[in-house]
Formats: sequence, C-alpha cells, structure tokens
Amino acid sequence: MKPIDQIMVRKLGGWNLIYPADWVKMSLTERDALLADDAVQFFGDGAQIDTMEAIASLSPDMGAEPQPEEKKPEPTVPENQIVELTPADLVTATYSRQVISGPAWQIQRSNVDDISVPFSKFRGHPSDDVYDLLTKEGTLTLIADLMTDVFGHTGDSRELIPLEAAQFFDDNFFSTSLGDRFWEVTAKDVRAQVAKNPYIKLLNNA
Amino acid sequence: MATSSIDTKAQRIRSIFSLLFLAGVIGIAGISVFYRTPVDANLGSAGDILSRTDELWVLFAASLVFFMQAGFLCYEVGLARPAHTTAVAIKNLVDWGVSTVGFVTIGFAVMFGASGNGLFGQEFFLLEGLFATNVTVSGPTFFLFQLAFAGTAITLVSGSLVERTSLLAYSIIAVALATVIYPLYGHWVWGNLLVEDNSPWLASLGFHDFAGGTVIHLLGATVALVGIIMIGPRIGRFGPDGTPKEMQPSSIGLSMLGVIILWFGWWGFNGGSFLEFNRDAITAIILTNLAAVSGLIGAGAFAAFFQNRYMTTMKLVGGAVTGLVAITPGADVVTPIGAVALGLIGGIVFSWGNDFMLKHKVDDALGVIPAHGGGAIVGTLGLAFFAEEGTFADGMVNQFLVQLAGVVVCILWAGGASYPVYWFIKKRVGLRVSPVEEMAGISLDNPDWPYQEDVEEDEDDKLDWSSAAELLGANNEAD
Repeated sequence: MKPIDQIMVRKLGGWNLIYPADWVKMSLTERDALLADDAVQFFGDGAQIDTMEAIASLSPDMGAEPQPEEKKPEPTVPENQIVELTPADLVTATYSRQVISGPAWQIQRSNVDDISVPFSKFRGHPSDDVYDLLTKEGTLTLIADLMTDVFGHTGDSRELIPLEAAQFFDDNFFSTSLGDRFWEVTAKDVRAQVAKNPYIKLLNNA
Repeated sequence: MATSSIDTKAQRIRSIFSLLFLAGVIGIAGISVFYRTPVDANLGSAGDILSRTDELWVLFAASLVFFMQAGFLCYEVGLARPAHTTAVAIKNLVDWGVSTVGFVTIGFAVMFGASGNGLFGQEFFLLEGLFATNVTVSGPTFFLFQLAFAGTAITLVSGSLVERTSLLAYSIIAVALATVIYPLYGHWVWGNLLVEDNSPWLASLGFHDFAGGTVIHLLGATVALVGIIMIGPRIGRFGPDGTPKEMQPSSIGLSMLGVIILWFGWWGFNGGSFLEFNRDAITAIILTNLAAVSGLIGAGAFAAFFQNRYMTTMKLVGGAVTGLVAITPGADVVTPIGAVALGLIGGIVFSWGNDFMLKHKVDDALGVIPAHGGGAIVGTLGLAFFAEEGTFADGMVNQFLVQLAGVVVCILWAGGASYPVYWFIKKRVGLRVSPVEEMAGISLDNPDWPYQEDVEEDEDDKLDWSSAAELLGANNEAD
C-alpha cells in the first residue's frame, strides 16, 4: 500500500482536503461519523487507497507522518488451519492504552455511551489489570481478546482464535514498540484487519 | 442505497436556497415594477460637451478588456488537463456573470460612489444616479470600462484554483470579491475618478497605480494565494517526497492563443485608462508591447540559463503575461527603456517564482501568483525608479516607500478579507469537488465523462472489502 498523503473529507456542498496529521487529531466520534456516511477517501501518491486499509494503517501507530510502504507476501494457508468465526454482535467500542510506558499495557474499553472499563477484566481476566506484552502469552491474549470482542464474543478468546491467526494479526496491525506514543483503535479498525486474516473465515450471522 | 446524513442535510439546505432564489426573483420583479425612475432622469446634463472620439475610444477599450475574458478562457483551458477543459470554461463564464451582478448591485457604488471618508463609496447602488454623471466620458461608458476591469480581477482567482475547486465555493468567493474585497481597495486608490471631491486615502498619500497593477492583479493574486493554501494541491500533484508531478496540459497552442488575446486586450486595458483618446494612450500601448516582449525574453532566458530549461514553454507564456502586468501600474509615466526593464525583471521573477512555489508544494495551476502577483509588485515598486524625470515631486525613494505601502496594504487587505470567506466555506460548505470529479473531470450535468470507464474500474477494486463487510452483516452494528 502506498503511504497516505492526502485525505478527502466530504462536507455539505463539497469536499475538503486534509492530511494524515489532521485525521489523527480528529476525535473518534468525528472519524466514525465520516466513515458511517462514506464521507472520507484516502489517497497515496495520487491513487485512491481502500478505506479499511487506510484506516488500519493510520490508526494503530497514529503517526502524523505517512506510513512507510510495507509489502508482505500473502500467506498460503492450508484449509485445515482456517477457523470459522461467526460474528455474534458487532460492537462499536474503542480500545485505548492508559499506561503509556513500558510493555505492561492497561487497556480501557469505551462503548458508544463513553462508559469506560478495564478491558482485561471485561474479558474475564479478573486477576490481571494489564496485558504484559513482554511475554508471548500476554501479547496473544490481548490480540485474541481484541479479535473476539469486536464480534461480540465472550468467554475464552484463545479457544476461538488460533495461534497463527493471532500471529498474523500481530504482524500486520499491532505494535509493541510505541514507547510513550498514543495508542487507540476502534472496533471497526480491528474488524477490518480480521477480515483480511487468511486464517479466519468470517461467516454471516444472519 | 441508504442516504447519508450529509446527503439529507445537503438536500434540506438546497430546498431552502431554492425557496430563497424564487423569493429573490419575485422580489426583484416587484421592485422593478414599483420603483421606476422618471423617463428623463437618465439624461446627462453635460452630454453635449463630451468628445465623441473619447467616448468611442473608451467604449472600444472596454470591449478589448472584456475580450480578455476570452483570452483568460483560452489560456486556462489550454493549460488545464484534458478532462477539465469544460469545467474551466464554465468557471470563466460564471465569474463574468458574478462580476456583473456583484459590481452592478454593490461593487461599483462602493468603489466609485461619493464617500466623504476616503474609505468606501455610498452612491450609485444598482447604478442609481450613474447615468446622469460624466467624467471625460459619460458615466455609462466609464461604468462599462470599470466592469470589464472587475471581471479581470475576479477571473484571476479561478485560474489558480482550477481542476479542484467546486463551482459553489468559487461563486461565493467571486461574490465577496466583486462586492467588497475588490471595490473597497479600489476606492482607496481610484475613489476620486468619478467623484472628484472624494479623497481616497491611498491616492491622497500619492500612491500611483495607473491601470490596476495592484488594484486588480496583485489583489486578485493575493486572494488566489490564500485560496491555494486553503484548498490545497490537486490529488497527486506532489509525490511523497514533495516532487511535483507533471500535469499534462490539454493544449499549449490554445494557451498561447489565449496569451495573444490577452496581449491584444491589454491595449485597451492600459490605453483606455486615460479615459480619453490622445497621444499618451498610444504611447501606453507601445510601452505595453515593449514590456510584454521583454517579459517573454526575461522569463525564457532565465529558464534556459539558470533553471535547466525546466518548463520553458510555460515560462515563455507566463513571462509575457508578467510583462503585461508589470507595465500596467506605470503605463502613463514609465519611459520606453523603463518598460523594457520592468518586463525583463518581471519575466525573471515569474520563472523564479514559478519554481519557488513548486518547491514549496504550492499548487498554483496556471502560475497566477508569480505572473500577476509578481508582475504587479515589480511594476508598482519599479515605476518609482523607471518613471520619466520629474514625475514624482518627492523623489524616487519617497515614491518607492509610498508604493511599497500600497502594495503591503493590498496584500494585507486582500489576504485578511478573503481568509474568513475561505474559512467559512471550508467549515460549512466544502471547497473542493468530489475526488472522482477531480480525477476524472468535473461535469455539471453530463454523466458520460470521458474517463467514466476508469472510474468504474476503480469502484470494482473496492469490492474485496464490501463483500467482507456484507459477510459481517455490517448494517446490524450494535453495542
């Protein structure tokens, strides 16, 4: 994907040009409203970029600078490694990091009513306030929690999400080297990534 | 397909404006019926003593200046990308319409009406009382000449914002320019042309701008620059590293024809500004030609010797226009060799300015800022040094300082007054056309765009995610 350098935002009688830094500064509510109205388009070097890919590339690291172009080979996944996931309920939550230094992440989960709860406890890990990203176990737990929570699943996420799928998600979406930088993702961002995950086959719940 | 909240709001606002439009039409018709001037009110008392030669000359000059609209149209259409030629032409047509309405109703009155304070005129609204006035020519002829000037100031802005600005946004800017921004500054410099008792404050300081180098060209270029910054560059104009990408012009030949028409029209612009037919008018036309040729040479030579021949063709074209602008403020006082000097310096400024703007990622599509802004500054400041001996009683340096003040005031006023207008449009309306229109070509009413197939292919590329979203039942989102 080409680095995003121009973003077009629709207004009542026309469109405006903004830049990735402006997008990052916008509140989640504003961004969600634009996405819901299909009122935003992303461009890199003059070419339009898929909205979901663009959001995914702009959201996790929240860098004001355009993201470097990163090409990864498409993995060929054996049929027996693909798991089926049926969405139960598509949530509109936001996940943000409260402890902003070190590998111990405390994630707050906020819903549309702005009610915020510790994500770890919400997901049924009563003894842990934080996800320890120094350990593989902590990282995978957080990833699996995110991947399942956005589809409204409760219970043990690790049973639903296989290791390979979590690993792919980690490689393409997550960053544990943020230092003190801001980190926040929406459920929509996460779902966009899950949809691209070759280890997961999403089924219609209708 | 579900209607977005933006669509719903836009539709509501469109309905309100439709009603306002109908009310306006009815209102104007009503006023026309109930407010009629007596049959002999428009007869000028001094009509008989006017020179018919002067009258005819200024009327012809006004026609030449109006014909410059055709020159601007060809110039802009030729330099725009093929998909945008229709839209560029439409904008030129619209800005003449807006200029006329805005200038007739309010602009002319603010610019030339009796003021008493030197700040703004308060007479001749809707041309009331104009037809009974005279200067060296009759009031109506003077009005036509000035209307053509106003159209020029406004059309400059469209040239710099082509290929991306929405017609609605541009029309709002044009209205502000025709009714307030241009006439107010114009009054400060030319406010005593029609009503001699007026004391416009910049003219009272001794500021000299014979045919509108600053009043028209610098003012228009400043408004355009603010617009360029607020609207931003075209999609893909600059690469990720800031390198400008070539935007293939539709027809260089057409743009050159445009320059020739502008050149021809400029005879009227400078020659007609004396408002009488005399030897000075012919001299001004000669100086105009000298400066244009020098501008062309200056820009071309600078591009060839100092800029590795980068975009030399466009610089030749722009250099000629810059030379024309540079002679405009001093076409009544500059010596022939001074006209050559102004043209050469103007041409160099254009070539340098054009590359400077690109280097700083300022997407001035047609080089309006270096041509009209740069040329106007060179001409307005330069006339202090290149005027005939004894023209300015206070000497070169003092005149230069006065000229500098006029330039600074123009930039501050035009920039300061246009910024809130752009800001409001950006905040409430949106300044640009949709990305599809920008990339495939702007069309007001024709769905069969020349690049429609490409657009449809792009839409197909998005299917990956939409099918996935459908799979997820995205419409049932809830928390």
